[in-house]
Amino acid sequence: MSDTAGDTSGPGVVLGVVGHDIHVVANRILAVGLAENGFRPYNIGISCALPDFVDAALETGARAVLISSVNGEGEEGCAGAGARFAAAGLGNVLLYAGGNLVVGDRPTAVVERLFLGYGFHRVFHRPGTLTTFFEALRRDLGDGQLPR
Amino acid sequence: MASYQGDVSPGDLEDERARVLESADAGALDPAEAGRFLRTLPPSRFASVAYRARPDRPHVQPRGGFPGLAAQRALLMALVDAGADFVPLTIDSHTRHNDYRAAAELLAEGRRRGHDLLNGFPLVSHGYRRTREVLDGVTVPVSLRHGTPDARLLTELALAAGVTEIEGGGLCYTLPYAKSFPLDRALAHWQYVDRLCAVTGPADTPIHRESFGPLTATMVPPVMTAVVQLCELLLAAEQGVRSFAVSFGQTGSLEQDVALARVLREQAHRLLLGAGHTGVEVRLVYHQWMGAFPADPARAWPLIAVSATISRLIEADKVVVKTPDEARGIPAAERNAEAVRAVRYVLEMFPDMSVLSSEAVEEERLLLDGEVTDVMDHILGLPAGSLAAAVHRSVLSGVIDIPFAPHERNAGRLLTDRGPGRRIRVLDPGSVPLAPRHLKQEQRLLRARSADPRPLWERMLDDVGLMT
Repeated sequence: MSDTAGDTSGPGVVLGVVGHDIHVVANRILAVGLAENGFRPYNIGISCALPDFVDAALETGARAVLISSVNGEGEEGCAGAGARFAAAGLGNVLLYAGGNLVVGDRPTAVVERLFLGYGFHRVFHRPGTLTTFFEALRRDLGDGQLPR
Repeated sequence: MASYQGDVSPGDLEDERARVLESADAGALDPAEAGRFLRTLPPSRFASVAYRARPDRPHVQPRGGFPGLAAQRALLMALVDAGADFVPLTIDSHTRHNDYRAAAELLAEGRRRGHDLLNGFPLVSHGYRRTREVLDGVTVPVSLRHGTPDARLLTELALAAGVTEIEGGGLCYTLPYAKSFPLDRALAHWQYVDRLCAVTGPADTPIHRESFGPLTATMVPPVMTAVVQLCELLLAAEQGVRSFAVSFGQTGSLEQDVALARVLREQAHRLLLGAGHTGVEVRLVYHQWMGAFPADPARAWPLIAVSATISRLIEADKVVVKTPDEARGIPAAERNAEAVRAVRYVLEMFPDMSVLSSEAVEEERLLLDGEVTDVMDHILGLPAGSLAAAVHRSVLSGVIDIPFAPHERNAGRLLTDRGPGRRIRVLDPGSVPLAPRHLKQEQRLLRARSADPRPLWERMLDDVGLMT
């Protein structure tokens, strides 16, 4: 596991790209940005499946997991995420999904509903900036309450 | 450190070669027949011969691979007509990952549906006999462009089909292209490819090898580009390769491009001499901008023209050209041919051009030369049983560390940023053993940039779109 960019003792966050997805650049930049924003990134990189995220959260004790998809495989790869984390005793871990989450053009609201249905707490489909993501993460981890 | 010193007796290759060729995918390839076929080709088909001719401009090479035989042949003919000095066989990504069955299925399914489902030419699925027919009558060298950690069978078939230039290497085709392919295996497979190239071609027109310098094409500092190129040059020379090109992609800074070209040439000479390899002909290949490309033709064409100018300015032996379709995907044959004509047009504007220099170029060259010496001397000084083992260990320990490489064993601790003149600077070397004075200079040069208060992640995100 690489990309713990910078030393920080902030809350641990697992991040990675789901599916057969080689889009590594945004993933690396996100890891740098998490460290710069005071989080402790655990980056499991590209080509990950749901069990890899669950294992990483168990191993690291991370408080949040960010699952990205750029090629749209997220729709298949993220189904049932909430149930999987709950089954591993990780029901209290914050789950975010972000990137270009589905293949083709679909309204953001539709994509958000789909992923909230998978058990994610927040969904960032085609976000214009990473700032809103960092702010939400800080807020959600700051007050100790999972968003509903 | 043990070294073969360029011994080309095939002995140790034979056993493994027999195992590779017994696969059904090899199409009953007979190595002796393949060697004889290469000897029937005219000298103009050999990359090593084209390089020796040394025209007063870089050779022009497009990329391109279509799944179908007729489409690929039409592409090659259009590119030769447009003035390409080398033509490509760009391989599809299933074949690159040794999934020949998927490549064959998608080739057949694409034919049924009437549109392509592969992003390149599936050479293994077509076999070397049909590929020979595609290349029949082509008068210029054909270059294999791929991204394959295990290219043993692919190279066997490519050589048997009459391809005389093989791109790739254990580092440059693994770290940027694979997540989990074991690096030690990739290095051993590329020793096979190097050795195969060394023993296959006619003695006076050797098969040419080329490394892939652009790597991830994202904020790679010149020192890491050079180190990967030089390691792969030395690894190839050990296996007896006698014609080899180091390469790099446009950095985004003219000064760094000029400096990197000079340092690569000088260090290649120094290191080959130091390892006792004589008689290796080293060429320099320049890749036009490999990062995100502008979609707007009003931007794409000038970028192609400026890249062409730089290739001439650094006296590259070959330039690999982009097309204005780059941002959209695989270019149509006509657009690819247009790009070849455009680049030829630019190159012919500068007859008898000589390399320019300036204070900034000299500053970059001295710093880069020092950094490359730091890292190469470290690698070559490791107490390892072989150069391949030393290179492998250097990746695991982060001595070789490629920004944005997706491979799980790439350290990912080296951080870079752009300073004044868009020059790429080392911000944090991670475990790359740069001397303190070189690191200090990197930081001094970075600080000279006008204050940018934005966080690093935001600047990195901006940099991805530098040329768009």
